[in-house]
Amino acid sequence: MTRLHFTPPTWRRFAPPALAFVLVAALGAALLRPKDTSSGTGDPLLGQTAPTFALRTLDGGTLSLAQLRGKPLILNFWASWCVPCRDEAPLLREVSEQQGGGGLNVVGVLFQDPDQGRMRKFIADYGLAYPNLLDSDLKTSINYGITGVPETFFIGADGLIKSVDRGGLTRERLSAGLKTIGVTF
Amino acid sequence: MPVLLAVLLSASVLAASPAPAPLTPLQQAQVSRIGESIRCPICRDVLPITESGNDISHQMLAEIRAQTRAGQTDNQIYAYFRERYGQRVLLRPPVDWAGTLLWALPVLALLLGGGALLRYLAGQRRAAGVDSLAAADPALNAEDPEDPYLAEIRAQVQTARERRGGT
Amino acid sequence: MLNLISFSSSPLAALGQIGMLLALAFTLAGLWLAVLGGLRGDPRPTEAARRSVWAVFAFVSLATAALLSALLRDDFSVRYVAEHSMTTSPTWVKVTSLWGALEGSILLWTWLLSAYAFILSLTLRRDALRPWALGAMFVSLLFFVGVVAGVASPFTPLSQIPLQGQGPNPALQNHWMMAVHPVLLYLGFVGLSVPFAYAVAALITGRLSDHWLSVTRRWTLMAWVFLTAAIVAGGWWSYETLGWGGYWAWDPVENASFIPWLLTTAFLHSIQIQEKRNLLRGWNIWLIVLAYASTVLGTFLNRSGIVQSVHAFAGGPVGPVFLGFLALLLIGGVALTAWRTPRLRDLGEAPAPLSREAAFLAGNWLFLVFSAVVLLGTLFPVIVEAVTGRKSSIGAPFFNTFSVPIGLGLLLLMGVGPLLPWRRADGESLLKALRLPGGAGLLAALVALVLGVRSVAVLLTLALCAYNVAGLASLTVRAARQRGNFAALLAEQPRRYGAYTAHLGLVVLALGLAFSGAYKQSSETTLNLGQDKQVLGNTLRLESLRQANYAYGSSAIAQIRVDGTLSTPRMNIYAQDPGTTFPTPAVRYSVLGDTYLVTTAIDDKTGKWASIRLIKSPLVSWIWAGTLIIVLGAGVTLLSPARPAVRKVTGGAVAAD
Repeated sequence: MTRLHFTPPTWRRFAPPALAFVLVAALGAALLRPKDTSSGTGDPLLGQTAPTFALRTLDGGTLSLAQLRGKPLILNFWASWCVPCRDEAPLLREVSEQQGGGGLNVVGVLFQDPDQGRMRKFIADYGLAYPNLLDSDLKTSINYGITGVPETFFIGADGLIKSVDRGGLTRERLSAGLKTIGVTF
Repeated sequence: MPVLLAVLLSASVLAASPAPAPLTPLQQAQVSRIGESIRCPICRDVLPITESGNDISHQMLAEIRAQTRAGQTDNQIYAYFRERYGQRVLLRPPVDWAGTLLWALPVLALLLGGGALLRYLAGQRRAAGVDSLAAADPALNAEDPEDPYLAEIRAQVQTARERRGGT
Repeated sequence: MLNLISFSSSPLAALGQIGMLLALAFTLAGLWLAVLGGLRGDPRPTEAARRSVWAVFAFVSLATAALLSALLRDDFSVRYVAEHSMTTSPTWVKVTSLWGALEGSILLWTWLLSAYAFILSLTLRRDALRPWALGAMFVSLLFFVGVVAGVASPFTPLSQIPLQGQGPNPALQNHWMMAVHPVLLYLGFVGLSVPFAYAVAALITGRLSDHWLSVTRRWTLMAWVFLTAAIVAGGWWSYETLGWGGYWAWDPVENASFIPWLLTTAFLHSIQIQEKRNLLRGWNIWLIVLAYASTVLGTFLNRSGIVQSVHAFAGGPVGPVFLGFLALLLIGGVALTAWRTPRLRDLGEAPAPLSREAAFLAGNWLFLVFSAVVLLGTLFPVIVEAVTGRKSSIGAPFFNTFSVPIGLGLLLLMGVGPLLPWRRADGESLLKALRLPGGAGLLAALVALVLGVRSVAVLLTLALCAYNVAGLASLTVRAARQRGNFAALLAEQPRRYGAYTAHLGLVVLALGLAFSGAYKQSSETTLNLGQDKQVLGNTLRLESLRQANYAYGSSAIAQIRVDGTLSTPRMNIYAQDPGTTFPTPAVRYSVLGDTYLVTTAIDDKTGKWASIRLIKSPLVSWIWAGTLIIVLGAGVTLLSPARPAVRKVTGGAVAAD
């Protein structure tokens, strides 16, 4: 039995290209969506109580989160081998010098950094006067969901994480973050 | 609050026991299973922490071991990491409508595909039984002769059938 | 995007850019001529289009040669060389830097595409399909040439010519496989463009022929061989460099190369049904269109930056262009196929449920479901993030849940296929034929159980592999005995025995996958200089630790004696990235299992200790060996059969359109 022209039902003719179109549109949406690495609006730690820690400082003392309560806090995870951390360091020094007197605590936490000598050199190079803590067992890093360095947490005086920056601070992002904890920069 | 509790729990477990008891095989299996489903947080690749050599992966594994020893279930440990890292740290699909869809679609594809295949194989065959054993088609035979082993078996079956049929 | 060409600042860059622009011009001209020739049925524009292909090949070759020569001469006036090469790299690294970064790799792809188009233009027969096949190749060429000439040009001028380049990505310098894997992979991907071109031609003209079948089959088989070799080579590269003894991570880019492989394998089997029974003509066209589209999807994922992967090139302006190409190919190709395949009606009756065709179709079904699983898992994080903004990761737990059962199902079908005749099988005959293989499988499983194997997946794999081997052996031995001479048998029916060899290779590969996946042991410890230590049943001793300096970096070399044999794992540091170490593991290969040693940390102050990871994986080398057997078998199927003494019966011609 031979039919010269066989036309399949309309849905069979249009369904495959329609499916293909949907796939391409989805990929296009994924491509054209702006990459949102820094503000972290979906970040699981936003609005949560900052995980507690008690870590050794470079000078041998200890510093715990409880001791920092009552004032807004910038918690900055970094490492001496990290190149973008060098871009952030001057900004952090500036804000810690400006606000360090009364209104703001700035604390650094070292992530996966075995070389104390290089750490001290970094701190000396950028003139960082605020405390830097050693997270040797990485538990604090895990608690803060660290996926790389630098990452910065803006913690309010009430102990809640108000904003997170996982992309590396610029002046604008630093100001924006500080605003969420009530500090102007 | 749960975060605080978990941190204190794990801290106390490690602080209290200098030489922790070895894990039972069941616990070891649990640690492997969970470890293979947690993604290395600092790797660009999609690697489980059991297969990445960095410090934080090791520490996460140690954390899983400690929690397993403390009797936490799979889901509790997944929840622990999800609280800190979000869904992306789990290599398993999320437990929501999207994840369910992800698990269901391949099964659906399998069933629909199988159905389409069966329908095709059952379709339009000429009513009169065609004796369509390979030997019948000479053009087919020249390029791809019937395998002697299969021909032998076919002959054996044929003779057995004739004998049974009592010709 | 408009590139300024200046001979005075960079002659090689200017040469390269001009070459690509001329190639673009000829591609456009060729496309127009090919379409004209097809629409009018006039052989003259078609011939002109054919010669345009030669011009495109010549000019792309010129541009590629310009870039290669700039790399070898350290000509930093060419932007690509300044960004991705350096004077201190070894020569082989400079050569592989040609495809080590985005622009260069697209140029390589373009060159291979033009080379294939050139070969096609020489072997193409003068029939109605010719202009359209050339036209389809020109469409592919248009995109790639356009991208290299425009958006991702390696030849854009530099404002300041640096004295030293930034060097290649150190990860790409760490192993010689960089010279092999990408080239093989592109040869495979690009190879699929020719069957695709033929399929488009068939759809547009509404004609298929025996010639189309045999040509498509040979091109696809060749592309398939390259793709198989490339994917496994990539796995071997991961195994030898990454330091965790693994070879497959279900990485999005790995998956993107696996999907075309699955679809092409399905195609290679169902095309035989078309050859023997003239069925599934429309279905086969679908398969080849989807296979090529999945190739372009893969390259889009790799280059657009939407997936997180160490393989992925950084995103950029290339992404939207590739999306456009993907859209054209996927939507256009699928629409064309959906609208025109109904004209290619099957001229025979549907196969019987118990027949070789049915087994091949069941295989098709499993391959397609497998492709769907891999595609879903790969795109899920991307699409969910685009739609809801939430990030997620899909890894081995999802993929292995489906891939293991599907793989086992495929092993089952692979074993029963050769035992089924074409057209219709007698159930009783089949059962009789299955007795030996089935028995062998059961025996293998029992023996393994007795020897302590408890993993269900491994037991099933063993059983199915034994069943496969027994089936193939009984067929081959009987046929060889009857013919008297195995070599003559092989020469007369290379397709059959080549396929058996390839299936055997797959059995070896499957065993390697099963055992290395289930029984890998790993242990990390620190070795002190001069002291013995027992690790995983081996005695390890660190004998020395030294530093070697090279122009391009340095290596910390540890000499470790494992049960008396010397192993030298290294940790390399490259000048262009002094903060990161790249390990080179020391792998001791053996038939029963590999001993894999990698240094994870060393005492660089006093040289008294080294931290190592020892991994023992059984049967890993069976994966590489199995792949070689597959490639060999596939190669054999490409041979022409030696005509036997018996004259071929010429009655009953197979229907051709």
